[in-house]
Amino acid sequence: MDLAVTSSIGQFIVDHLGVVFAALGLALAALMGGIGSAKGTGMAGEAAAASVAENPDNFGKVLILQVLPGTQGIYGLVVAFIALGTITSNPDMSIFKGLGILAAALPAAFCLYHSALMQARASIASIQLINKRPNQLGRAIIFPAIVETYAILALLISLLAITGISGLNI
Amino acid sequence: MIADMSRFRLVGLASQRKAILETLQRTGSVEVSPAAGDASLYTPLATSDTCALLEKIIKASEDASEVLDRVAPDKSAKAGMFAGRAVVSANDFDSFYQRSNLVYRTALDIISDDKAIAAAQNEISKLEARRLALAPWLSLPVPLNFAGTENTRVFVGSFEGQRSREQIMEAAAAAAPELSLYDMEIVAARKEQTCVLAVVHRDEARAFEQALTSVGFIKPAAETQLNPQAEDANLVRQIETHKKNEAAAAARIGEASKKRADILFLADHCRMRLAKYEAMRNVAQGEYTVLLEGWVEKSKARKLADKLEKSYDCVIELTEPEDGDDVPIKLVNNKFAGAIESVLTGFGLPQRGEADPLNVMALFYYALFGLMFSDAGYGIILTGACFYILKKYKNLEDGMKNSMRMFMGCGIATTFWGFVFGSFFGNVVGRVSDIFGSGTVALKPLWYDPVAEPMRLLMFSFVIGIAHLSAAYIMKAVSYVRAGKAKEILFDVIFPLFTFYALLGMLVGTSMFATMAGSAIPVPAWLNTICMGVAAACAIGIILFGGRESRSWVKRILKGAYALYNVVAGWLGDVLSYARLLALGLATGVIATVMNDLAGMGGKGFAGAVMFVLIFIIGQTLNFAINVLGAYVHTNRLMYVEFFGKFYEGGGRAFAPLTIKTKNYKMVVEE
Repeated sequence: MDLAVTSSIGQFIVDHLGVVFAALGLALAALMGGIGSAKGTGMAGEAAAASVAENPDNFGKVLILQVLPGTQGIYGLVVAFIALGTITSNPDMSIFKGLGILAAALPAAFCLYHSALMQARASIASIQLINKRPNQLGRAIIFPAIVETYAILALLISLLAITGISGLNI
Repeated sequence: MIADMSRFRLVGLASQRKAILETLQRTGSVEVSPAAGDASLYTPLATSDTCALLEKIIKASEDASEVLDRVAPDKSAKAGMFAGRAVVSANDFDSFYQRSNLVYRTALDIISDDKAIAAAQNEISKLEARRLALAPWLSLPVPLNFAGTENTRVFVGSFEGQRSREQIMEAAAAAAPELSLYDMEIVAARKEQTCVLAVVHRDEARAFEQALTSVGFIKPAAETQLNPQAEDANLVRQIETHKKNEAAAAARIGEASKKRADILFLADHCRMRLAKYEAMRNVAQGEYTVLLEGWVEKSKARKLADKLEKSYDCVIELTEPEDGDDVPIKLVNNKFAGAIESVLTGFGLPQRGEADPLNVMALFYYALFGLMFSDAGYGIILTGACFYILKKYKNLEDGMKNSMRMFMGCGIATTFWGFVFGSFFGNVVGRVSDIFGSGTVALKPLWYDPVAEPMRLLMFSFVIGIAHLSAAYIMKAVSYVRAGKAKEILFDVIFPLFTFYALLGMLVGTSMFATMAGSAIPVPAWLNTICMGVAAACAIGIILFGGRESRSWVKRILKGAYALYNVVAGWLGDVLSYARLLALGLATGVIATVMNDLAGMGGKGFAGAVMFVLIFIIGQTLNFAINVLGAYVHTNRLMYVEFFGKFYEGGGRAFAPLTIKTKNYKMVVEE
């Protein structure tokens, strides 16, 4: 292959790899949040079903506790959509900007995944609490809600970083 | 606010004991506590037998009504969470007393009829099983256990699987070649078994039986001398009888189901009497008089005492609670604050002397919820739904009524913030205009668009957080004043509050803040100097007094330094926690917008419009459900952890007056 063609392929890759990296970040955020929430709500759902088997009146209460680890999937989606918006408005972003957006999506990707699992465990414990003391829903919700703080902080920094990086001139 | 309580002491005639308690129960404003009468004059009343009997009746009525729901369900009854209980008057209650015995008997009959049905069904299935086992033998003209004639022995039995007469004869011959005086006949040959009648001469009977057994001959279990056909007819007759019994019992239950209301009422009637007898345990009984003690709301005490003294021969003494008394807590609030009482009781009631935080809490509760839900469309739906339920169902239970009021308040706040930040079902106005119209119409935010300027909303969230936390410190100051510890305010409220304010004042002038927030707030040099001075003074104050309970100065200073670290780190963590206002608010708007984008993919035509409406409704409903839960949970969290953590002790005992506690009917007492 002659040199000019090789270098123009190289140039093409360099020109468009930014979008690929940004899309990778987008995918990671949605993936990890989604997987975490799927696992989390699944685990909590098993405990919730067992609780309802013992006392059907608990349904409404344990359902709330089951869906708590579901928010991470939504947060992942939010990050993904913000990233998508950045990609579509900057279709020829530089490779550096793309890498930046990928890095910006990482706090969301990892924290969402792990916080969903840990929150599910707190939810399961709270469902067991509801089994024994059905009128303690107010307190039972708080334990899993504490875990969610870190998902929210991760969502926050990812959002701010994506919007911040997409405005940079690199 | 927390209602003032008075101690209530009543001395009355023993003969009027029950009547007095009934009046107290219907007024529902006195909590009966154990009476501390002179032990030589008064003894506690023994009511456990009556209580046990009442509990038995309650159990029977509940069981009976469960049977009715199962066997003869009431199709006209429409269950609904908003319907509330049917209302009865005190007269209905009194007149029911004479009938209660009869109703109790009906309830017991229903239970025994239900048991009879179960027993009959059990018998029928047993008899059916016997008929099934008998079926292959029906053509046998002799009983199953027919032994034979004078010179013969008869063996009736079966072999596994389907066999022919020749096969069995061959097998028998192979097993016992010396025998010859026998014959056999197939009664029925089926896939699972072959039924056989074998006749043998009595001399060879024993050897023949052994030979048969060795080739797999099984004798059936015979319980009767009748031949199979007669036995089958007999079984059918028995089944008929049981079926008749079952139908009769079911008919009796069906008839009794007309008294469903009475049975439900009986349970409530006994529940009320049970509450009365349980309260009676706390009454001290003398020879001619009784002593009753308890707690009553101060504002209602005088009127109640006058009423009782007029109706009965009794004397009532109302006194102020003393230190060390276990005074129950009752909250009295207006509709605005009272609506969120369940959020407070979920954490714990305030202790006596503590400030009731509900009013301050309500203001922030609605604001924070609104910021997190933050969509005008959702807010209007939430407000409208709660308003409709409140108007439509006049008979709502109190708890449900308060929840509806709370969510209506939350809905109004959500609508407000939604318009402020320009979100109405996400961007539906602009989206519809883009697809189906000119694309020029869009809902403009009254303030700014948070998706475009997230940092600005983050700063605003922090401002709201700082206001919320400051309110918590002010509540702490109020608590100190009420507890007579005004001096502590300087150490525990002023110092931490102003350390933070001063540090904040220094921070907003820096270039770091300007890059983060996107705009600088100019702080004049003199103000900066003042801030530095205040921060230093407060920090020194905290170091000196943060560990003031320690005697040793070394320990005290170390504890003080740790307290300072806690104040600064605590403020930082607490304020950052309000970032959730931005995160959840943005999540609502972004997902709603995404749903609209999906909905609009069908394009402009008729099919596109249908698709738009469908996806819009499904998507927005989903987003609404997820985010209303998120907003509720995180508003509670901000209240419990950040707000209450600063000042609220909790742990008060709820006021539990002797009152009408029923499950199925709501009793209304005419004044």
